[in-house]
This record gives sequence, structure tokens and C-alpha cells, in this order.
Amino acid sequence: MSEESPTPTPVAEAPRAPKPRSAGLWIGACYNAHLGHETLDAAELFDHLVITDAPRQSDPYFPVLRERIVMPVQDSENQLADEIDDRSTEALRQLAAICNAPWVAERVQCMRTLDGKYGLDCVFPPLYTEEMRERFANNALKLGAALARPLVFENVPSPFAPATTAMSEGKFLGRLLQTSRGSLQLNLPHLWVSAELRKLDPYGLLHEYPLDRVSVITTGGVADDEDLAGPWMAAVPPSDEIMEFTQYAVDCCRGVRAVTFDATGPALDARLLIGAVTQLRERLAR
Amino acid sequence: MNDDRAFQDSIIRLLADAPFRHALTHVDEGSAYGGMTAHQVEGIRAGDARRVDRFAKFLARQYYRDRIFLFHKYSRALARYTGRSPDAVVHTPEFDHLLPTVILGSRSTARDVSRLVQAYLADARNAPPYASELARYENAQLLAESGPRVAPVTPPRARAHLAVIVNPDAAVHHFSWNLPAIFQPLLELAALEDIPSRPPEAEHAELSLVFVRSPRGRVTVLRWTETVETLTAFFDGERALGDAIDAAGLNPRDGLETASALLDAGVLIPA
Repeated sequence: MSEESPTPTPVAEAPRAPKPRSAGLWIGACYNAHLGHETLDAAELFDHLVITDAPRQSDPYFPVLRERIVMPVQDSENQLADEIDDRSTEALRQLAAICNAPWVAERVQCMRTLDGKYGLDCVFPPLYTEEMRERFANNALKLGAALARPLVFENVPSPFAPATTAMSEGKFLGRLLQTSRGSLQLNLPHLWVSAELRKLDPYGLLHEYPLDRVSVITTGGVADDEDLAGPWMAAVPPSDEIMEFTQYAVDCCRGVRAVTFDATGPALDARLLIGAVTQLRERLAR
Repeated sequence: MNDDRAFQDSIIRLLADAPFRHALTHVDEGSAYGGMTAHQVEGIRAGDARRVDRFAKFLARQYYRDRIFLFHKYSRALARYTGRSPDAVVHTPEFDHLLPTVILGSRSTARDVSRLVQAYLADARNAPPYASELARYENAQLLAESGPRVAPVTPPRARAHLAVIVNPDAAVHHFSWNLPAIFQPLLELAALEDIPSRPPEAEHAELSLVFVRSPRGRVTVLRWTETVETLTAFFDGERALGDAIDAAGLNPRDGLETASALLDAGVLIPA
């Protein structure tokens, strides 16, 4: 296992967890507190566990796992389209400190109106324009400085492209990365969903992204939805097609250091989680 | 706000607000609408309207399924007896009929969805006698959670000179079963492979609870006791907290403690 952090910039504090084990990629998953016991039992499988929510004080497994496994943080609540308020920034800073997170991932999303009146409660892309890129870059710089940890930016699914959008998500992220000193967390199910819903080739779409800036890859399952008449992310094992796509993306992204199985929620069971991470390890073993 | 950020808000509203979406598609060509310029209206119309509509329906079903899953966990536990899980209501024709009126997160839609859940569970077979009240309790939480998102804040401290009012969004509900006593047994059912032949029994008890969203953004449920009812009757927005406590005939220290808990929960808000 590599000793490098999956992000290009050094972390503020050295991780408390031991060095990852085997050579090559870190293979991990999102931490699901309801599966804490099973996760601890299978701790050897996880090089990292992504923390998506503040741990509960009543969770007995989190402190034990924290001593053994690297814990990056994924922030899915905030949106860098707007300045993140002091309270939320401080909560995120504290969470990253508790986890001793080597990086904090921010989705490049905008799902709530500024006045708070309307919200989708679901990942949703911003308009890909220069004006929005500037907003994201400014807010990311402020957040990065407050957290004193590397930020990674995650792509989000685009169920449709507004006629007024000025550039592709890949180009938008490329420009954002030029000005905000972060790296990219390439979420493959998000990309897959965008491609399928917009009748694009996922392999072709992949190459629109700045693959040389990818430090983390996220993979997972998708399932068809009747309303969408297409797929959406789901807590199911990655299909053979997505596993193949993951392998391909890992091969294309020479700077990638970590691959995460992205599945959360109370419906997720231990067998699925352990099975998917084992499958990833076997597939990506180098 | 810059132009693109404002336009982004319109797109979010387009997805969240079904009547707005409908109106936008029927506005005269070349007209501005809902804070959007005519050019932006045309920009939205020129996009893939069918895909926007499909995504909006998907969001509506997901939004309320997630909330019902969260708040109706006790009724969901009973589904092992009744065969009817409350979150399945989002896949019924009745929910489909609601879709053209849905405004995600609004009080009105939360109220409509609550009614659907109540009706959906009403005729479930093998439901225990308290099932209907349980659904009403869970619906009250769903309703308390609705409304515009506001940034979480620390509640104000209860001080004698502070003037407060009862939060107009706080709702008091009266129950005739001791529901809190069966929450834990119901949750434990979920972990069992083989369940007992009958659901847990509840005892009759007169119970009044107040449901509200706290300043920190969480749904809170407190007992609506006689003391609380007496005290809150004196909060008219002008009278200071200390005077209201005196008028209610409460010990000042106990009164401030009660007021502090109510401010923390969001039942009381500064006038």
C-alpha cells in the first residue's frame, strides 16, 4: 500500500491510523454506523473508511476503527455554490479533525436556493458557466483555508443539460481545479448515470474529465428507476459493466491513490458491503 | 446575487415546485416569468422538458419516501404484521395523483402526504389498536420537519426580560395511547428473525405532545403538560418572560427552566 496521501498536498497532521497494508491502491468504503460491528470484524478489508456523517457518541465502533483505518471525510450537505456559513464550516472542521481526515471531499453541487425556500435534497449540478466556476473557486478557497486540509472535488450526475449551460462538467471541473488547488474525486456511478440518462457513451464522457487530476475514484451500484426511465445510484453491488468501467478508469487515472465503494443508508446490509469491497480488491489487485 | 446563481435558483424551483413547472410551460412565448427573463424562460423551454419532468417526479417520490422511511419507522416495524410499509405509499396511484401539486418541503405537500399515509395504513389487516395514533404521531413529525430551510442557529437563552411567543408552527396533538412506551419494543422487532405472533401491546394513557422544528433544525417532540399550557398562555409577545412566569403563578426558577427547554426545542421563539 502506498504511503502517499491520495491528494497532492500534504495533510495538516499525520494520520493516526497505521499505514495501508498492500502495495498499490487504497480500497475502502463509506462508513455505515449500523454496520459498525461487521466493519470492525472485516477491518482488514478496508484501507480507508469515508465518513459521511458526524459519528454518534453511542457508536462504540467508530473510535476503534478510527485507530486502525484512515478516515477521509465526504461532505454531501453543503454546496460550494454559496459561501459556507461559519457554523457549518466549524462543524466540518471538527469532523475532519476527529477523523484526522487526510482529505475532505466536496460535491460540486447546487441543490438549494439561496433563500432556503426550495431544496431538492438530492445531488444536483450547478450551471456550468464561468460565473458559477468563480463562485465555486472562491468558496472552495475559503473552505480549504478554514479546514487546513486538502479538498477533493466530486463530479455529480447531470440528469439533463439546461440549454443555457456553457460547458461540460469535465471542462468546468478542469477549470475549477486550475484555480482552487484541489484534486478530483471521480464518482463513476455519477458519471455512468449522466451518460445513460443523456444517451452518451460513458467511456467517451470519462475522457472529458481532467483525468490527470484524479486522486480518488468512487464506484458503486446503479439501478433502473421507472420515473427516470434510466439508472440512478443505488445501494446494490456494482454490476460487471461498472466493475469493468472502474478498472478502465483506474488504468486511465495514473494519479489515483484510493478507490471507494460508495454505498450508504439503512437498507445497506453487511453482506453487500463486504462482498462489494472484496470484489473491488480482487478486481483491482495489482 | 449574480445572474447565473439566480437562474440556478429558478432551475431548482422548476424541479421542486410542480405548479411552477406547469405554469412555466404555459406562459406566452417571449414572456418573462417567476423572476426569470424571457430569454431564460426560453432557455428552459428549449431544454429537454420531458427529462426535466421525469427527474422532478423521481425527486418527489424519493424526497417523501426518504422522509416517511425516517419518521414512520414504528409503523414500518408493524409492517411485519400488517404487510403494509408506510413508505410504499409513494408508489400508489394516489401519490401519482398528488404529483402535479407537489412542492418539495412545503407544509401543504407534507400535509397531503400525511393524509395519504394515514389513509394507506388505515385499513391494514392485523394492525394493533394503537396503529392509527402511531401514524398520526409520525405524521406530526413529518409536518414539523417541513417548511423553508433556515441555517441552524443556537437557541436564545431564557432571560427574565426576554419577550417571547409560541412558535406558530408548533403543533399540539392529543393521544389516548402511551405511544413512547412501545417505541423501543417496536424497533427491537426489526432485529428479530422470528417475530412474536402479536405486535407489542400498548396501554391507554392520555398524552399531549407538542411537535416543532428546533432552531438547530431538528424535529423535537415534548410533553405538553398543564404547566407548559398555563405558562404559554401568558406569552403574548409583549410581556417579559419573568412577568409571564409570575402571572402563571410559577416559581421563577422552575418557570425559567421550563421556558429554557421550550426555547431550546423551538416551541417558544423571541417576539
